[in-house]
Amino acid sequence: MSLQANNLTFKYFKNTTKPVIENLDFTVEKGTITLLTGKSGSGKSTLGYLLSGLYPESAGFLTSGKICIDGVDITQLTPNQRVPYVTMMFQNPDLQFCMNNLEQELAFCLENIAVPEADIPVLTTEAIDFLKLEPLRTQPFHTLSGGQKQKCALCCILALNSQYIILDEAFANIDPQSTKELIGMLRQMNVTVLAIDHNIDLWEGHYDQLISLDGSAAKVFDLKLDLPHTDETIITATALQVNGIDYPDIEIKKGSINAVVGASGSGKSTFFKTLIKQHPYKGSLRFNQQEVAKTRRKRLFNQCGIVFQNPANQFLALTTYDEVLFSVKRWYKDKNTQWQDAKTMELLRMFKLDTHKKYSPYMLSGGQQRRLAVLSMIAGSQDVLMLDEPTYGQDYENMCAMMQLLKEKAATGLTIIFATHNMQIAQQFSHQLITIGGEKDV
Amino acid sequence: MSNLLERMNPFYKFIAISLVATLLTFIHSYAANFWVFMGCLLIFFLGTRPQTWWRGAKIFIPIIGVGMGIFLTGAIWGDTGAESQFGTLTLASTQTGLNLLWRFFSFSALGLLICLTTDAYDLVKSIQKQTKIPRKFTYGLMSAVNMVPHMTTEYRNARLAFAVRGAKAGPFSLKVIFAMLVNCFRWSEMLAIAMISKGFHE
Repeated sequence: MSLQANNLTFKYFKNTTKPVIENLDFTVEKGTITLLTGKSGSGKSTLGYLLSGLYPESAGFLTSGKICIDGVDITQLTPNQRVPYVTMMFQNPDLQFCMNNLEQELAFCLENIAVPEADIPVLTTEAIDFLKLEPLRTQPFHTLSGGQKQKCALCCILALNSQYIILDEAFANIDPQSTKELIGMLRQMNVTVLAIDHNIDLWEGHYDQLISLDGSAAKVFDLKLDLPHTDETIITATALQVNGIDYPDIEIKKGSINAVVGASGSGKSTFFKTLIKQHPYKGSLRFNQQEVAKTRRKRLFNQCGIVFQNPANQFLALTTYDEVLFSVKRWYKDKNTQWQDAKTMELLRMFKLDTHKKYSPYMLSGGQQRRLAVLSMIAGSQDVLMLDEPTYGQDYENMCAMMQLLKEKAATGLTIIFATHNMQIAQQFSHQLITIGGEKDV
Repeated sequence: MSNLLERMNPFYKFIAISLVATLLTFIHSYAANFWVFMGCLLIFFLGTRPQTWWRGAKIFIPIIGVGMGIFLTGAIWGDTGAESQFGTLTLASTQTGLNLLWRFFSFSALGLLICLTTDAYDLVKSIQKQTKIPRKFTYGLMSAVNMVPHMTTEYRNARLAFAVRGAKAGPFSLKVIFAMLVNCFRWSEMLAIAMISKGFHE
């Protein structure tokens, strides 16, 4: 009894010479947890889509190979016939709900697998109680944080009761403590899991098999921050309250690197947006000695850069090259075109995106999109750069390259504030750890 | 106080209200429009709870404002008779104004009657059950409706992204709308895959 992939070759376009996945053999034994790693862009998510039967039905071409679950060829099954065998939770928490709230989404899932109508409310409540998500039951999804959405998505996946579950960076926006609890729950449920994740630490002691798609060895982040910062204060928050969230008093020094940590939904992203005057607040929030509420937005935008949690929100050009060039042109107006082109290519090479320079930003993998979003911001010369989950979806090499670049930027006086759930990076790579809303969990 | 209207089968309620609204389009008497409006008010107060009354009142305040504007427009400029003077209040023009006013109020009241007492999800589920229309249609419709708040968020995000990156973009900038639409197209594609992943199949 297992999930088996034999000699898989898959490409997105018929005439592409280099397939995304080539001659791959793969087995996941029933009742085990398999961890799948690999560099970003190496085809991990694509493999997940293939194994769950979503590809080639929805996109691409399976030019060779077969995927069997317990001896059944999944490509021959209809979506509702597939669900008892396998289902998948996606990388982007924004893109997986078709209903308005968790209760409705669960009813939709249960209806799909032909659960009698009378049983739906009972099973819905059971699924919600199992993950302790009662407070989110009827809250519209668009009002939830990334981590809360991921928990809701997991709740739906578990309610479907599939034998095999594929999790694509499923816990990237959830705080480590909750993640460990969720992984523990999965272990106890004896469900077969294929987890695509760069953060192996979270799965320590729980996985039975580790597979690297490109042969790269999994590493633990060991970059150290050996950088002094000035004593000049650039940001202060005193008795700050935004949308009912109370923040601790915060003091951020110029040229320092600051990690913002906290449970899902604790208000990390809200803090960033408040700093660029996107939310009204009570208390005091001062940037460069001036109250944010009294500072013009345009001035704040010139002094603060922000990389959103969902990088696709901030692309404004049609190609990867143009995306970076746009920022280079903004900040280096006085330089000639040749210089701007060379600078753009240098930045793209630094983040290994030069080979994708003609691609649309939307065609890049999740990890590549995030690197591009960081690049397009880091090309500037703001005073402060805020990054919301910059390491999410990044392999070790790219994560180090990104943090190294941030370090170099901090050495030039740039103040960096990043939100993360990766405690190792937060502790090792920051001058200050800012913990927001310690108790909030759902 | 009863919540009879809220408990009523959403599909039958929708059909009944749609039927009245359709019939009303062929009747031009302001008295008929007035009585439909009064009927709606009576049903609303008898069939809903006080919490819903307040919601209704809040929505109806701007409707009254617009209604007065429509009345004045009709009353001042609504007489097209040969002897009338443009911009003068006459009996005929006042009648036109009243006609327009009660027509506007009655249609608004009919609309609110269903909006305030019916959950969109329940309505679509009820339509699916009573009419046996394909799930593909009802759930497609529901996911499209649920995308609307996401689209407004996408629009705000796209505008913010442009502003943060120093790109000039007016309130109706095509660049911003394009970025929002690209995200929404991608969104709808991913949504379809997510639905299939959860076993959605016709």
